[in-house]
Amino acid sequence: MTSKTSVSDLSITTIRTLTIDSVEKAQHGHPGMPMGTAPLAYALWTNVMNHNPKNPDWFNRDRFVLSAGHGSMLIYSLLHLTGYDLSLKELQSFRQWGSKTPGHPEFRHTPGVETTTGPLGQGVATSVGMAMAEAYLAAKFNRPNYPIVDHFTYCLCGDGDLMEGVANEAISLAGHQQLGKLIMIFDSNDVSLDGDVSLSYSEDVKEKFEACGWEVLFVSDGNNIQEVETALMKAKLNSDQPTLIEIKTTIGFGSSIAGTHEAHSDPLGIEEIKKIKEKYQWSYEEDFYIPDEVKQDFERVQNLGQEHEEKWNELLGSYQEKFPSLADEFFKLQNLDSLEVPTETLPSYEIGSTLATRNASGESLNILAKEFSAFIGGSADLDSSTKTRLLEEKDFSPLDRSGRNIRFGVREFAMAATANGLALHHLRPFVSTFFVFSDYLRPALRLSALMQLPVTYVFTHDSIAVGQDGPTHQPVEQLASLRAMPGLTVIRPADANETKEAWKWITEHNNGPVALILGRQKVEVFAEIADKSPSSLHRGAYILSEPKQQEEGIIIATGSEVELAMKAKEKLEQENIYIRVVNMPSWELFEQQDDAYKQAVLPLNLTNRVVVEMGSKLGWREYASDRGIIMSVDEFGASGPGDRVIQEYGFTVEKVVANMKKLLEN
Amino acid sequence: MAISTEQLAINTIRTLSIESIEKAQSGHPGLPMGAAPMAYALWTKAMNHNPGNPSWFNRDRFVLSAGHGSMLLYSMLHLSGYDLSLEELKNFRQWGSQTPGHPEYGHTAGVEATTGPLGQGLAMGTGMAMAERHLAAKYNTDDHAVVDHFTYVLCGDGDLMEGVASESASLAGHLKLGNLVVLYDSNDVSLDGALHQSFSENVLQRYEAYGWHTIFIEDGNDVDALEAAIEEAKQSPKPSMIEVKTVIGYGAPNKGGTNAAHGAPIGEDEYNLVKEAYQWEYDAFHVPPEVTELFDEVKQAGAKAEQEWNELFDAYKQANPELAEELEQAIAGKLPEGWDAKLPVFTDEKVATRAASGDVLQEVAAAVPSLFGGSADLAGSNKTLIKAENNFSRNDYTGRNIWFGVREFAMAAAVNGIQLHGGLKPFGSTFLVFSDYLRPALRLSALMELPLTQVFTHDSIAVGEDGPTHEPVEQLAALRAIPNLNVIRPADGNETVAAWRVAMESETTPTALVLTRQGVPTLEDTKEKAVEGVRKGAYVIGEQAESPDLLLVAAGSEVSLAVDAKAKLQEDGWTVNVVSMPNFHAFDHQSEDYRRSVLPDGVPAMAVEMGSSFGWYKYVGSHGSVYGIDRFGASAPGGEVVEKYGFTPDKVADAARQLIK
Repeated sequence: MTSKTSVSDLSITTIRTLTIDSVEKAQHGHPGMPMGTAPLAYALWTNVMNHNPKNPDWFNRDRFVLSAGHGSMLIYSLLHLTGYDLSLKELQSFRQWGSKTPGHPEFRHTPGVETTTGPLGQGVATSVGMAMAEAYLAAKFNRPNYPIVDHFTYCLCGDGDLMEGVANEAISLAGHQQLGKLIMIFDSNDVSLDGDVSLSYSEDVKEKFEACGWEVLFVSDGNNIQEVETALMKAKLNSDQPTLIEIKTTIGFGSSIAGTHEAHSDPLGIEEIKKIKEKYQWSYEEDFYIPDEVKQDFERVQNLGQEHEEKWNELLGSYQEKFPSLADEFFKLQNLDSLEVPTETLPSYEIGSTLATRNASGESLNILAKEFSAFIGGSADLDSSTKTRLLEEKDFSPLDRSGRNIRFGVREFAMAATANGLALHHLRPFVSTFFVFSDYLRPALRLSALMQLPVTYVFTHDSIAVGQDGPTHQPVEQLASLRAMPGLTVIRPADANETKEAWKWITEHNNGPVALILGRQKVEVFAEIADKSPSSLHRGAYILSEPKQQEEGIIIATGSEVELAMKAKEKLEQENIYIRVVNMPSWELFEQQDDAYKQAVLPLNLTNRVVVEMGSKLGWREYASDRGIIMSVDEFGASGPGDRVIQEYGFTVEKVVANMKKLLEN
Repeated sequence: MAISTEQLAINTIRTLSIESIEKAQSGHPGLPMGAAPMAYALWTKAMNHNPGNPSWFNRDRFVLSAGHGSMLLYSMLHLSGYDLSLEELKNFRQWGSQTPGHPEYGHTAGVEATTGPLGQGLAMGTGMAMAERHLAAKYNTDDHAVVDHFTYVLCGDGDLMEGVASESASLAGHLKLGNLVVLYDSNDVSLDGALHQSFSENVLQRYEAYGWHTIFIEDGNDVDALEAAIEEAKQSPKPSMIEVKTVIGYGAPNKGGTNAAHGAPIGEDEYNLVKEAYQWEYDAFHVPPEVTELFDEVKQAGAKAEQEWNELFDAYKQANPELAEELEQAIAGKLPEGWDAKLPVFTDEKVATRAASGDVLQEVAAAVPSLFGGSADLAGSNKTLIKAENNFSRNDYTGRNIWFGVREFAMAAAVNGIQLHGGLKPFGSTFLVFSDYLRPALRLSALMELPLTQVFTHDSIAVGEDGPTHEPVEQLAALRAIPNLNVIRPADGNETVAAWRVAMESETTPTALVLTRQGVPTLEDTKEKAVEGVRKGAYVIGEQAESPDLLLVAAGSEVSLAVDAKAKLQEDGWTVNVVSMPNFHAFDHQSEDYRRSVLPDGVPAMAVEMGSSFGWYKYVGSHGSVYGIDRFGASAPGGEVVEKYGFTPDKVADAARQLIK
């Protein structure tokens, strides 16, 4: 075996056999997809993609997203063979506890894995975000002859991905944005998990993508790597449109069940594997075997990658000399952990004035964005309501890639998954919609949390106070459902000053998503919050107001309901009843405090507690004490003027006062 | 120039809408002003409906997917003679009125679906069309087409941007739903501004790619063209998309054609100019008598159409008494007598609750002909295939297994549409972790009080190898937080049977069945206790000690774990009651006496569940503890993950000992 073709063939077969052996050893996994796509992946990873296996963090590398995450063994085989830090031993521990080869690719878990995939469709949208990040950074930093940000984003997806709504949203968005450096490869194998794709899918994929503004190329034989390479090269040349390359493949290529859904998941079995290997003309007995010529074949990828990075480093060096301040800013992007917000740059709000927290949020965001060029984002067609527009910045558009306002359209889910892509590309994205529609993007938010990405979700119109739009637009259970999500910090600030503090906290923390929950209606600016929030917000909950005398109870509130709590306290005091008000903007931050602090804020013996929050009571019992009264909303909202709805649902100072008295009397 | 009665009627739709919004000082006038002519053409000329009886089964369905244009619908309902008074229009968006900000099913006569969350109206319309095709295929005879109607959807640009709309368009095209007609109010404006800032696709080309018939109408004010287009659409064997170019806020000289007309009242000054443009000289909320007369004719035609259908149905019934009876029962939403006679009883040592559910489903499907559903490409894993039945396909609409494809959200919204249509008891299914993908539709199921079923399997970290993206953690808590949703997580096969009973008998509450992938032991006394216990939401499993030292409260696969831990604790001399709590929602609705009998005051309690601890403190109290999972899962063989996360009898017993101390 000396000719180049046959070495390629052998290398491709090695990708397949490593996959087959790993799945067999794990007795679990999806062999069909890697067996079908090995040739195209080989062509991409060895001859087209610009990457350096020795440095998976190289900034200017091409990005590769395996949207069809169940085909994880494809990526693990490639990572191992091309020389990323993933040993053969890890492949042999596929899907085992503690291995670097989990069932689906996980970002931060395995070097070279660019994003966590598995939930279908999202990889498509996340790669759109990466391509947007590239376009933005290129526009911002590149100078003639200094293309320091200049790479492609490749996404490999399957039929299942393309059926998902989020992929459709992302395709439409990418076409609209004319993201020429996004190349999507569609592993077209006519089979999904349950059976033939024709049972549930009969779209004309080419026509659909063209309708969305994409170039579409077709490769009829997925085993023909020359054809694949030609298509990839052609795709790279089109800088005005994203490109879809539909490649016909055979799922489980080489097996007797090839081309059927039986090859989708499940190990193939020893007998079958023997036959497959024969068909592949694979003469090695040993499992997990990698022939020497294959090793050599892949070594050139490493050498080439190293060369590319070195060249880029040189370019960056001279860039730094020529454009020192730009370079400085560019380097800052590599380290977003240490952002510091000088407090004085943010506004202070006058005590006693009234302002909706969404408006205060908009002001802080605008100031922070001026300071930090990593801030980029937008809204799902609700900019004017969520107040997330950067007023002095332009729209990110095909005409101006330096714009930082992204118009996501009414595509909440793609927006969030795109934001994940932006964050994976070292930006600090923010996205926004109405709180009730956080449901639409929840699966992407879960991935932000799982990947610990610093995406800021601005959710406004946060309660039944929304009023006239009615129950479809009034969140009830959304707070509880977000608080239940691991890895997500939910902050519901009580007034304008606390909103500012929340933004400061967000800016200074780079290790996970934050959901900022904001009101539509105006709320009072409290002196106590101005006083205490700057030093206490990070504790999640704090004593906002203490009575002059020994207190008999606690009112716990969040967000707009803090105003009710403060007024109730005042009223009770007039009747010589003394209580404390605890403001609890973030459960997650409070839970991170030590017991002593938690006890100090919510002493065990103070069981006369009234919780006030215009949302589901689920979860509150933990803080309310067994006998406490939880004033909550446990049914859907109703359409009517906001004030009236609030009143009808019982959120009045009088009711808070009455509930506290009821507790004290018993 | 004299204004035709037709034009006057269209202008009345517009002015009623504008004036209601002005009075409310809140609302979206732009859509009704632009789309009034298409609504007029549809409602007065094409649509087969009887305003005197909004629940006539064979009516054409109309869904306003762009729900923010609710005043268009309310104006149409009022003018056509549905039970919605002018007074109600004047109380638009007010507390207690029948004219809420967005159309709400069950709230206003003639509103077929709750809309507002964009995109879902299209998907519900798809579900309605599927229901019609299925029932027509099943019940119509050569002589009598008793189920024979169209479903119309009016949508805007915002709807078409949503992923759920793409999913359902793809599904509708695949299923070749020729009875589905979409009118697309194409006005080039969205809430935030000009549409071209965020949307530039060729919509009709995309729909052609989905297998739709497409029609383009240049001038949205051309009623004749609209009428002809709707007629053409009705003739097409494919679903039809009619793109109608309109001007948002038509007639408003300054705000028309811009987003200023989208979501806020247009204001008195501008309205004066609008009236000039419409040549409208009447007081507020005026309906000219010739317009009233015109709509009266529609009403009469509708009454006549229903009368004819009633006669048709009588003849059908005479010719096919059994079929007719079955259909009538299904339309009434009733279960056949003795439907539960053959439900299985489990005595096996071990069975995965998804497998048990699959067994139950076969029996239910055999006994209840209206059961109709499927999976988002996971029927094999969810065990939701009805084995004795065909696939529901463009070639065979009698099939009862729906292949939704990997389109969870469109699935759940279609299931809503099927339920809204009536005559069927629909279900959907996917992995529990992907309930997140369809959550917005499930919220609408709960809000609309639709008694449908969603089957969610692979319900914990026990999923194992597939890793954290496929292992639910917070999904249970998130579902339990939805008002009016029965989340039932049965502990074994018998509780699974009981859970299906609750689901099938429900009248106003949707059910989420949360099931295991892995086998779980059949518990000692569920054979006798499960039916009642599951209905009540929680009950004591095994022997109930009068004064226990500890309560172990668990759900699903963790109930048997709690039973094992109890055995360990008993060895130490502790008396333990194990509570199976499959349904929070139902338990919360029990009498205080019952709740106390299950969870007595003053007894330390520990909750055990392989999911977020969130929400459990309510039942174990501040002196209790929750043994849950508040981080993401991990990839490894299921048994190993379960063990590493501490869900073994020994570790649970250890935690319980800590608590008792």
